[in-house]
Amino acid sequence: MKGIRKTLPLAALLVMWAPVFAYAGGQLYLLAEKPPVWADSSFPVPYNINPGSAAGYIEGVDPAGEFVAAVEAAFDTWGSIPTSRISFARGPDSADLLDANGNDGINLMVFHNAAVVQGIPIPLPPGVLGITNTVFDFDTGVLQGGAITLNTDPLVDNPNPDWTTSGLEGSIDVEAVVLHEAGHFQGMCHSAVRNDAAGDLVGRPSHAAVMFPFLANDVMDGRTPDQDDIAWQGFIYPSASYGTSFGAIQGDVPFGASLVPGCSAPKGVNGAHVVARDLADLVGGEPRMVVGGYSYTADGPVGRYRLPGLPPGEYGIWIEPMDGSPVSALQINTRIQFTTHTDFPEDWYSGAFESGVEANPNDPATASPVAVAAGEQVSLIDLIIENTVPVGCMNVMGSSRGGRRAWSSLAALAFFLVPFGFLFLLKRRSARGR
Amino acid sequence: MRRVVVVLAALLFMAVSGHATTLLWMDVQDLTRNSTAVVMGRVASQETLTSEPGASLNQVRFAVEKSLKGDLEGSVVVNNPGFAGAPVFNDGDELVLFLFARDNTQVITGFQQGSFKILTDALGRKVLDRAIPSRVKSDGGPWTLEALESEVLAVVEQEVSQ
Repeated sequence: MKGIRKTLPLAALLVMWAPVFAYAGGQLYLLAEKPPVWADSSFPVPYNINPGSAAGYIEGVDPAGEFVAAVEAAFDTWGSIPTSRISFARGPDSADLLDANGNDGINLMVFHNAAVVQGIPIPLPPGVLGITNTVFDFDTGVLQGGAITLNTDPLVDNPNPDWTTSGLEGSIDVEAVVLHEAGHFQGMCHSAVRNDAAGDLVGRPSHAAVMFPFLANDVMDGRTPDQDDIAWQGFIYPSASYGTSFGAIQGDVPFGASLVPGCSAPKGVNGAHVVARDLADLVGGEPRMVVGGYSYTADGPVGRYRLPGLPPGEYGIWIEPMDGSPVSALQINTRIQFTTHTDFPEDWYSGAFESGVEANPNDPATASPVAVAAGEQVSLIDLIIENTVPVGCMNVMGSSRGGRRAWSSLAALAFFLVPFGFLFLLKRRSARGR
Repeated sequence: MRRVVVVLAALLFMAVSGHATTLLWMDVQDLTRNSTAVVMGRVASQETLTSEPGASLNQVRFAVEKSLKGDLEGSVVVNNPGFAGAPVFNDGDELVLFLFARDNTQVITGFQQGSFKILTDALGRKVLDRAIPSRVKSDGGPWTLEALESEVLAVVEQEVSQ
C-alpha cells in the first residue's frame, strides 16, 4: 500500500505529461501516445525479402519469384499514391525466418509459422494470414524497423499450398495480404470501411478497404487501395497535393449531457466508427462508405473524430458501435481496444434535427448532407448519442455547444494544472523526507 | 503498482514494438476444422508476461469442463499474444474456445474469432456474447450455446465419418 501511495502520483505525472497528439482515426496507436510513423529521413523505407521461405506455400512453379513480385507490387502500390510522400525500396534479400532484431535495418518479408513473443515461439494460428511487427521509439513514435510474416499454414484443413497469386475470387492472395500488412508497416490501423453488394451482412464482405481486418472476397479489390486507405496514408504522410485534393470533416460524438446544475459532466464515445458515405451511390442498397475514422476521448472530452482525405463533394455522416459486427474495437488500436462504448444505435448526422432521441436515427432519409471542398475542413459535425442522464440534462445542439466548450476548457485547464499539482505534492513529500 | 511505474518509465526511454494482423473470416465449420480442440470451461487464472520487449503474452490457465473436439481435459495453458485483435479475458469467464496446438503450445484459432464468451440471459439460458458466424451471409446466426455446440459436433461427426 505504501508503494502505491508513493508511486501513484508519479505514474499519473508520467501519463499526464505525455503530450496530446492531434492525430486521429486510421493510425495504429500502440501503447504510446504518439502513433508509429516513419521519419522522412528513412525514405525510401527499405524492405528485405526472404524469397526461399515461400517454397511450398505459394501455388505455381516459382513460389520464390511470385513472392518477390507480389511484395514488390504491394509496396509499389502504396509508394505510387500521389497524395502521400512515403516511398519504399527493395533492399538486399535476407535468409532469416525471424526478425530477431527489430531495428537492425533489415525489414524482413517472410513466410513462417511462428512468432516469438516474450521469448517463446508461439504458433501462428489458422485464420491468421499475416502479421506485422513494428519497432518504434516510445517517446517520439518514430519507426525504427518492421517485419511482415505470412502464415505458412493459415488453413490447416487444406493441403498446402494455401497461398496463390492467381487473383481468383476467394483465394488467399499474397499481394492483397502484403498490401494490408504494408499498411500496418507504415503506421495504419484497421479500417471498418466495407461495401458489400449483398448488403452489410455478417461475413466476409465482397468489397472493403485494404485495411479492413479480414481479407476481402474480391481479391483484385484487395489489391487496390480504396479512398479510405488513400485518405489515411496521405493524412500520415501528406504530399504537396494532399491538401489541395481533399477536404476533411471533424466533430464530436457526445452522449448528450451538458454542464448544467445537477447533471453529470458531458462525456462522449471513445471508439465510435464514424463514416463519410456517398448518399447518391448505393451499394447493396446502402450508401457507399467512403472514408471512416474513430472517435477518441483522448482527442476531445466528448469523443473527437476526424475524417480526412475526402474528395470534394457531399457526404452523409454515419456512426456505428465497434461491437464486432463486423469489426470489434479490439481489432483497431490501443486507444479504443478496451472501450465499453459499444452499445448505441447506428445514427446518421441530421443537422439541426440531430439529438439523442431521434425516432429513426439509422434512416438514411434523416441524413443531412455535409458539403466538403478541397483544402477545407468542415467542423462541428456532431453526432449525439442517446444518454442516460436525467431528462433535464438532455443536450440540444444550439444551447449545449457553449456548455461543452466550457467543460472542454475546464478539462484543458485541469490537464495542465494537475501535473503541477502532483509536482507540488511530490516536492512537499520529498521536503518532509529530508 | 511499483512494477507498473517502472515499466511505464522504462517504456519512455526505449523502443517498443507492436503487432497487427490480417485475418481470414471463419465460420463455425472453418473454426472447427482448423482447430485441434474445441473446449468449454472457465478461465482459472492468467499470467501476463512483459519482461521482454515487444508484445505481451497472456498465458491463460483454462479449466476444461467439456470437450467438443479433441481430448483435452483438466487444466490447459492457452497462449494469447497481445496482438491487435487478440481476445481479452477475466478470471472466471466461461468460454467456448477453439484451440490450435503445435508442439503442445495452445493458441486460439483465428484470434478473437475462436473465442465465445458464455453468458446467462434473463430467462436463465446459456447464450453467447455474439452471433454464431454463419457460412451463409445473413444478419447473424443464433446466439445460443446449444446451437454452437450442435454445429461444432456436426462438423466433428463429419470429420470422423470421412
